[in-house]
Amino acid sequence: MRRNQKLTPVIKGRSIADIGWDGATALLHFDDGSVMRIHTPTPPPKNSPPATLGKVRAVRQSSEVIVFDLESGSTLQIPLAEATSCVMLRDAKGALEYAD
Amino acid sequence: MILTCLHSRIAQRGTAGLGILGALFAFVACDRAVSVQQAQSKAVSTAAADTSLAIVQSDSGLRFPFVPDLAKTPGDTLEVTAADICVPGYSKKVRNVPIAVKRQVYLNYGIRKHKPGDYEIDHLISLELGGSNSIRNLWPQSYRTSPWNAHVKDALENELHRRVCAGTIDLATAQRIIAQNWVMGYRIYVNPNPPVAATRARAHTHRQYRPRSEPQPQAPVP
Repeated sequence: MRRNQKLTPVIKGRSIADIGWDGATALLHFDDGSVMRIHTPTPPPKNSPPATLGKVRAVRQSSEVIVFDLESGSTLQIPLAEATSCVMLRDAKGALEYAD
Repeated sequence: MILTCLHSRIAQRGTAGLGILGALFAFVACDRAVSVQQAQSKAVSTAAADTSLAIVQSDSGLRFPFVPDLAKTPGDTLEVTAADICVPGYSKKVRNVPIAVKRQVYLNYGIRKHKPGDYEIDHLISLELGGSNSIRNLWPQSYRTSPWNAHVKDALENELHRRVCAGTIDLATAQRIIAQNWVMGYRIYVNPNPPVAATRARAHTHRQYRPRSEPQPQAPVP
């Protein structure tokens, strides 16, 4: 799976502080106040285990999934609703930082 | 005022709520309002508006490769506002279209072979107008067709972006104009006539693509 060369330098070093859901949209809250919205195919199951949090080292992406490689060595994988147009990142003030 | 009212009404209903035919009529109505508005400001007779309407009706018959197949490419937008797209460098924040997606777009349009410089994978609603990278917003646009081609559409994209950022047209309206029929949009917002001189100049360097089943549009007599 290829590294996302545009998104990786934007969020490298930020920590994922929390993950919430709005229907089938995942909301990744970073420690600097920025928020990433990721459209997924379906809402998560109610009894799904807590997601892995931590500092981002790199981001990889295919047409089906986006993978966050964390500095701890673990990964966070989130399925995508479609190959493009699913990921959007805004900073703490709401300014757009990235869209795919 | 009429123009604003019509556009607002269309924006409220949304493209999904309108049939293609209904959307087309709504667009023609908007075009007529624009033509009348322009005619009044330039003290041109009412006949000018009627001529403009006739041009729009003939443009509505255009098909691929001049305009996308709306069943395959209805247009799709990101969740962005005018404030987002009017920031310099906005388009650079949007990821490039992956090659696999580009290949799929060509396949969807039945194009299995093409030469470099024949087409670009165009965002029907351009990135600078908040268009997305979804396959629903992508189509192979020819550089070689005449008079309507990728170079000409760029001029409309720039003009609509300028107007959105100047606050003279709202973003949803601009997106709808370019998604429904970009040729009509060009005639209304850039120039009633296609850039014949520029097209002829390019024809010296590029062999024109002439599909056998599609008639070439005639440039209207000024």
